[in-house]
Amino acid sequence: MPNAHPVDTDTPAEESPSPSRWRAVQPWITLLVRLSMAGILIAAAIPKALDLDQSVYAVRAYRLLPDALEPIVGVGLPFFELALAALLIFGAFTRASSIVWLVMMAGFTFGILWAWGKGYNIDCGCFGGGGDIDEDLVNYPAHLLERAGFVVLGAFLLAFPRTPLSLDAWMRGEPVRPVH
Amino acid sequence: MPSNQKVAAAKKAAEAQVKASQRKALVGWIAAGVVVVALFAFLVAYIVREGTVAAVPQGDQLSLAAADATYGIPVGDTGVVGESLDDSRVRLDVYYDFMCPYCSLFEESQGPVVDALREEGLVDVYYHPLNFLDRFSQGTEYSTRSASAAALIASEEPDKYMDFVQLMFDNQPAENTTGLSDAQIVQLAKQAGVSDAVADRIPAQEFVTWVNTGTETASQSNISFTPALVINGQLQDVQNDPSAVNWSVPGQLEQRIRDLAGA
Repeated sequence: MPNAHPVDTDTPAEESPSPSRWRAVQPWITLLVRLSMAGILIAAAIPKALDLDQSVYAVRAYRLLPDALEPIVGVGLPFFELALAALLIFGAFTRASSIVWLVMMAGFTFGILWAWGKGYNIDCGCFGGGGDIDEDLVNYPAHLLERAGFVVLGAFLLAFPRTPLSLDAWMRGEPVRPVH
Repeated sequence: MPSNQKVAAAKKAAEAQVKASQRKALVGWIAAGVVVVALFAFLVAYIVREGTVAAVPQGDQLSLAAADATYGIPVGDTGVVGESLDDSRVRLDVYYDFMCPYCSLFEESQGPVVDALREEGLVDVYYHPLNFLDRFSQGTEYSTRSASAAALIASEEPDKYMDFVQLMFDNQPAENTTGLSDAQIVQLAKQAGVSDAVADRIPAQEFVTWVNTGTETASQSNISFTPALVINGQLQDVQNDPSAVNWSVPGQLEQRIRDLAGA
């Protein structure tokens, strides 16, 4: 039987209009989330890349990793962050990127909890800098709240990775800009 | 449906599939390219960084003959770098950064105490100028510049080192300013009695590599804050060790050194 009006198979016609509005809006929210995650990564990577020694010292201040790994992580982290940012900007393998992001955030959150638990007064070094600082400048709850926000962003991207203006969309042969 | 139409549709579908897999491969290559570029940049940065901290001296960068393997500038009872040291005395290592406000506070409150104990012959003091706080001088790297100047003076005019450090802390700039200019540091060096010939070499920053390596060495031995005190090899970590000396409590540092010296 020919269909005069093609019906989106996922959306039963009798359902309220909100899900279809969500379907229209979600890709753009995802785009926003994707690009803000890339922005956060770049903001975190630049100061570290410009002062790699400080980045290594910040890693050492956690007193968490074996000595031999500290310079590798300290130097490698900004480049890793920039690579992930590039993938997010291109929108290539967005879902995989969101998983990498979440694993990274889990690592950072563990680091902050570790330092807090051990009673170290350190700046997290999340956005460059780092190392031991004065007690009144340490704000672990704020850092954890920030982490929580980042986890929410990553989880959203994991749940809704479809996004316009992305290599993923182009790869699947979808219109790069959704037509509405 | 006529069969030629079917064939055309199948062909179209096959072509679309080929195109899709080509696109997929291209995106895969782009992602792989991003990863390879990042990995390459990381390797270059890692090797370059290892190079800057491993070998001293390099080129026209000088090493400090008087300093020991931990990059400490040793001062004994005469107050002259590298002179009249005695292993049987208590050893106090002071890790400091010219930009660090608490280092200035340490110098102000404990400097005279430590100097007196040193002149009594109870303790040899090893000073480690570090550059942890370079990021607090708006890009002028005041910590590095000032530490390099201190190393130069320790090397060339060892009897002026203590006076220079004192003057530098008396004139300490606030954090997040550009710090003292090279010209101002030269001026303070001359004020400390350093000869013009040596003081005018300060802007050349001949000891930057030495300072970087010293800071790296300190970081590797778990010095992550300034001022940090190490007494007879024991880091005084007040946060985590209840038996550590807290220099901000008047008398504690002096008492510990006197106890260890058996005086």
